[in-house]
Amino acid sequence: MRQRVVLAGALLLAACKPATPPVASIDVRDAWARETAPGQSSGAVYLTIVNSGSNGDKLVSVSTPRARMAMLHGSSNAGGVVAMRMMDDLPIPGTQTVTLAPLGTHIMLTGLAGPLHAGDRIPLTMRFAHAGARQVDAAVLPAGSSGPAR
Amino acid sequence: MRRVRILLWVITALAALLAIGIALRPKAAPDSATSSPLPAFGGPFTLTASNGQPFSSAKLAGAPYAIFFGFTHCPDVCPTTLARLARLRKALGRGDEAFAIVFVSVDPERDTPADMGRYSGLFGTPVIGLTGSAAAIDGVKKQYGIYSKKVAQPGGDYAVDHTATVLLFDRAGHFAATIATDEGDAPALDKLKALTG
Repeated sequence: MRQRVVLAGALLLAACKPATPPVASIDVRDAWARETAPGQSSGAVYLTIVNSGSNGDKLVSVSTPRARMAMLHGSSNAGGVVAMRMMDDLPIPGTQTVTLAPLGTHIMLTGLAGPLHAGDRIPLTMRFAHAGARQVDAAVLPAGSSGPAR
Repeated sequence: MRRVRILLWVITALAALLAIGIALRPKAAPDSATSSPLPAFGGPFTLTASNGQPFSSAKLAGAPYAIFFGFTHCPDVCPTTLARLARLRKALGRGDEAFAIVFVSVDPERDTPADMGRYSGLFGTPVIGLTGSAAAIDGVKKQYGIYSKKVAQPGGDYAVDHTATVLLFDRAGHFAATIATDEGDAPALDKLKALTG
């Protein structure tokens, strides 16, 4: 009897979500951060998020032991004046790739525990609404860099 | 037909009035398309160098310079822009003396001369980092037509919205051109070639 209920539940789930399982659909690639100067309190992390599933997801939070806070930030440019604003979350539509790159959306680290040195790796925990947590290491590149070689 | 001609004359007259209005504006904003220098635009100024000593704009005389305003707590736009200027100067192939890269703080409250020195030293090429008293920075911002405004951030911190356009000045200290944040490297390099040729 109990088995039959479980089976019915599984069938119901399968009927609701015929596509690829949402848990496996998010992949984070090419994470990097720019080197910072001693005393500098903030840094930025850039990366690429690939959603290979058909369901949309969203990045809801990021944390790292290297900074007091990691925030999703958007840089905007209006008539040459740039502004940075915190974003509550970042939608990752189904089958889409979202790139966080210089002069656009980035993960801002504030309250750095120490300078980010070129060659370091920064562990990040990224939480997605549906896919759950992803552990990613961001490579620290020299300040003059414009991103990882692809 | 006659009506069209009258209309064209009216448009021409309005355009002329507009041009006069722009020319008479006391502090015109820089325009990337401007070819003739605007004499009232830019220095002279005295700020503080990264070693704590006064820095006079007279030190910039005789060579072109690219000036950019920002702050050291800026993790994205400022280092990206300075990295780009360093890269463009290298691509130009005329050495570090071809033009000076000047980075002025719009956050003198937090940016000490030493902070500016450490930050400017990150890019593997000489960058002149300048800060100063709030009054001195305000004066220089006015001279260069720079806007900035503090904006509170979560956690009690603040960021600064600011003009991020790079301003190019020629050997005579006259405004020559701008490099916009979203402008491609190829046109930017052309402007630097013309500036340093």
